[in-house]
Amino acid sequence: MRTGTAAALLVSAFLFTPVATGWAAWGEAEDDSEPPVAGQPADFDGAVGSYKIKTEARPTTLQAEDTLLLTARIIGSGPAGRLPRRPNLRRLPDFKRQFAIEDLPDRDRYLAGEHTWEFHYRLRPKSLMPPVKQIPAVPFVFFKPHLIPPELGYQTDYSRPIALQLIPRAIVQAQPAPMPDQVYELMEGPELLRNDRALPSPGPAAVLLLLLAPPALCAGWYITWRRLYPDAARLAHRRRSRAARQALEALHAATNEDGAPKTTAAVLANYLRQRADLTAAEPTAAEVADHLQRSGFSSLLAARVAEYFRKCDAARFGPEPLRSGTDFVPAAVELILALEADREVGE
Amino acid sequence: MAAVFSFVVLPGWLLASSLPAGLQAVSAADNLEQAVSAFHKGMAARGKPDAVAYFRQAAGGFDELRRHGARNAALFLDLGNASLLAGDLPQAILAYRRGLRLAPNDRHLRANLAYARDQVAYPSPDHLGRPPIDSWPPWLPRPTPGFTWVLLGCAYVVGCLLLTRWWMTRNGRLMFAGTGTCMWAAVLGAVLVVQAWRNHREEQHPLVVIATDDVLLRKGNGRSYPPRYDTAVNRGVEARLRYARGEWLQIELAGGELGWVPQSACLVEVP
Repeated sequence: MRTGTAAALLVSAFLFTPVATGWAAWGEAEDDSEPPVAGQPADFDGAVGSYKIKTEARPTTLQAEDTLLLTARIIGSGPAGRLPRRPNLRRLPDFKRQFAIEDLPDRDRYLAGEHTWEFHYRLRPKSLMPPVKQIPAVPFVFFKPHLIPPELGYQTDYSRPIALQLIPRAIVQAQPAPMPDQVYELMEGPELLRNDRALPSPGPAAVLLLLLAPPALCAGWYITWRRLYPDAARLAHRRRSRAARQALEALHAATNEDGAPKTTAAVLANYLRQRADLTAAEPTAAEVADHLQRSGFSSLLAARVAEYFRKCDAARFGPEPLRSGTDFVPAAVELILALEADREVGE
Repeated sequence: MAAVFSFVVLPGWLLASSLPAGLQAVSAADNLEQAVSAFHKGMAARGKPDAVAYFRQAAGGFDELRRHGARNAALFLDLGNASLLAGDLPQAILAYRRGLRLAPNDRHLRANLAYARDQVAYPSPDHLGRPPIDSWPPWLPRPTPGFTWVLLGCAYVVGCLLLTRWWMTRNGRLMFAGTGTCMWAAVLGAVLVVQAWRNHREEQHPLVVIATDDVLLRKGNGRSYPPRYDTAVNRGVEARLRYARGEWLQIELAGGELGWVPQSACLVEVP
């Protein structure tokens, strides 16, 4: 049993370290096998020993843009740890220019009996003028020890170029695909003789006219409207007073309920504070009349406003509050419009 | 001398000046009839070797009409179809593109251009010269300059009217509507500016279609210059003309790649 195990280990050691069989001879001269730095080529990949390189491609007759498989075989032997590595074809300018290169490391293998390393690539010849005619030679640089001086040990072996026959696609596609039916459609009639030139873009003058015409039209409309509806225009102008607009909106929201005198008086007082600089927080009727007269409003209007405030006070605080008889909201609206009209005249 | 002028020279000149217009009209109508007839013959011979010759004859007739001043989407569709059926892919692409400039919303032209582009052998894997994928939704009409101008005018006028009415009545809704409409008008104005810029660019840099296979884009205007790209472009690849120098054109592909190609290897859209 022990003998069998040892034999198995020995066999597996030979199988999985294939280099061991081929490089027994290098054991004695390992010290001399270290490649010197001096004279080392740029594309040296560390392989030590003696090697040859061969390449094989299939197919060699193909259409432009089709792919082919290239196998590079490196045959020879060397010390363990200094084995050949996969040649990098992308470093070779001829390959890079003529082919799209894909490495296929899964297919790589070592044939121990033949002392051969196989490296596989997929190449796609590019569409070039003149077309690709061959796979160029692949160089393999290795160091051969025991030569004096040692830098002479750097040697390069080249594979033979492989001729390619690239068939242009245009020739290959002799049978075109059937055209769709839409291509067989034909427009007929005299309209085929028409000249539909694209409309020219308007010039600067036309653009200026387009820009100015609508505002001019609108200005004309506005002037006409003012002449035809002067009251509406005046009302609109009044509404432009922010204080008046806010007060009118507040009054529109109010109703002639029990709280109307208090609400409308507050709205009117607030309006007067904004519009006529009234300072009192809750002005009396007398204060309002006095202030409006001093502010330049007509004495009649001042009296009307004061009277309104008096009615509000009476409704709120009098012994018999007025539940009806006075429409506080419309009256307040009327007063605000009258005050705006008076202010306009003053202005 | 005056008599000679009156009886010989003047009538001769009048005849000479009046005949060409009439002849031209007759010639154009004849050309159209012949082209249409050739196309029908090609249809009848569909699948046979003779068909290509008929379609080529039809394409020649339609192109002759174009050279005599006829320009409309239907003519360019016919020219494109006849060229495509005659195997002249670059001419077909050029015709469809010309038609689409006049009628950007023509579905037949767009579908046939898409089919023609599918026939172009773009070099893989870098797809040099392949036009970008059109992301415009097919259901959405493309705004033509005329339509955009009309829309802009309407939006601007309505916006101004709404704002004027708001000035009269102080109705807040009118102000919002008017401002919104004017903003739409501004957006349409921006669209017009972009369209004008595109048109200007297309006029400055006309369309070029590569007419032969395996054309290399070179670094200069001569065969002695090295190729700018390893990959050659094939017939049907579209580009824009940048400069012309002698018999060479500098073109720009859809991806922005620049290079010089011989004029003989291109079709150029002459406005």
